[in-house]
Amino acid sequence: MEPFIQIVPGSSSPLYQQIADQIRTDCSKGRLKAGDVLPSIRQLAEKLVINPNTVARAYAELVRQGLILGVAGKGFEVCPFRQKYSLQEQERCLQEAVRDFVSKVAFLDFEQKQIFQILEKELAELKRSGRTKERT
Amino acid sequence: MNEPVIETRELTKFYGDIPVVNMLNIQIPRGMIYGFLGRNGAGKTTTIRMLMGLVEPTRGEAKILGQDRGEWTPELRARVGYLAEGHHVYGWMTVRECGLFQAAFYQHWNADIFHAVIKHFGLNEKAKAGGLSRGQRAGLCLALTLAPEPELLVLDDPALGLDPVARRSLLESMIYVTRKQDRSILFSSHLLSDVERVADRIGVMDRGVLRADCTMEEFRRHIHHFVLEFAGVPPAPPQDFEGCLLASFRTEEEMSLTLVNPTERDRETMARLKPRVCEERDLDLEEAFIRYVGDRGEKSFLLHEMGEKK
Repeated sequence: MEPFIQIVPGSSSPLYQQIADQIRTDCSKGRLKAGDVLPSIRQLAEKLVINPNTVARAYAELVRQGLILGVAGKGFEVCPFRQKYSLQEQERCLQEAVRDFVSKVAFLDFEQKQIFQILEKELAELKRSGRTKERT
Repeated sequence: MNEPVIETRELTKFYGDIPVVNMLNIQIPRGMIYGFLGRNGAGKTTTIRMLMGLVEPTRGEAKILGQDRGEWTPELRARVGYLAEGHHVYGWMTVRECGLFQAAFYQHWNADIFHAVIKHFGLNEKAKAGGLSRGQRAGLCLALTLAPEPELLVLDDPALGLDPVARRSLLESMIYVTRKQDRSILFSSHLLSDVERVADRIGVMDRGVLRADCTMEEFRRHIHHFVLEFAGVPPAPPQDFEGCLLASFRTEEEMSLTLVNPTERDRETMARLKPRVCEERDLDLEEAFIRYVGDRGEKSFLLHEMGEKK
């Protein structure tokens, strides 16, 4: 499947980050599966009308994270996930994501219990697409 | 082939006793898209005109494609495409005639590119150039600049006066040009979202001086914005920061400070003001730019101070 990517210049999040985030989301939701081929750097750059180096940077970050892989003659494809971040880096990302989450729900009239329920449901869906560790 | 396509050393231009470009040092490597930013009158156009040999520098050196000023041959110039500010065309010629006229000056002219760009901007070849809209004229100028397939493109505010659709076509053309790896572009612009889209690196001119020459990421990373909330009227902003205080802004209960390269001690200085909350916020490129080249000093919306001035 071709990922649908949209960028917003002039936001406080850099363009390469926006691209990486969207592909990451597609992978986590199972919209992109192992073996799916991403558009080439050139193609995506011309489609989004941005500098190809920006796309290259987004792809490089996803390669570093172990989500995609450069395949000779084929471009970049989604690979079976293998954790490449150090524990420390994972902790930092988790912290950041949680802080972001908390600030967004802080002014909503839900009880913690309700929030946890929805969170659990979302995480369970991740589990189904094989993106979280099963706790034994 | 890895020499820079543009290189200046202490390039300087005085008009009277005002340095409009002051000791400019830039290096643009081959293959790069370089966005040249700055307010009106910052010296961007004068720099570009010196690079194109249209303005004699007061002192300093400028090299284009490895050649010193004064050694530029017509062959070398043919390898550089220059789009002057304002999209000037001969109004009495048709679009097609403009192409034929321009082609006569070049040994190498790719008519396919000319036609492709004309089509991309939705132009009719039989139309008189004088009757074209601003965006169409920009398209024509761009077609004339791109048809000789220059290695180096120098675009002086190409997006000036263009509507969003024409601007997008312009950006698409710029990205298209870099399909060939060795093509380089220097362009000036006021549209930061366009610059963010296409530039590898930016140079920020301010009153004749190049004050930043880095990637957009680095530029944003060095500029920090703090918002301090107070229970009452905020105190006067401290003046003893180690980093450079670009701007401060006060309202009834809030003070915001923008600093370049703040240090740990600066954060302590802010904490000593005893704000209720001190938060660091990300700035987008436009905000960072405005604070960087905007007027320095304090601005405030303190109602009581405004009242006192009467």
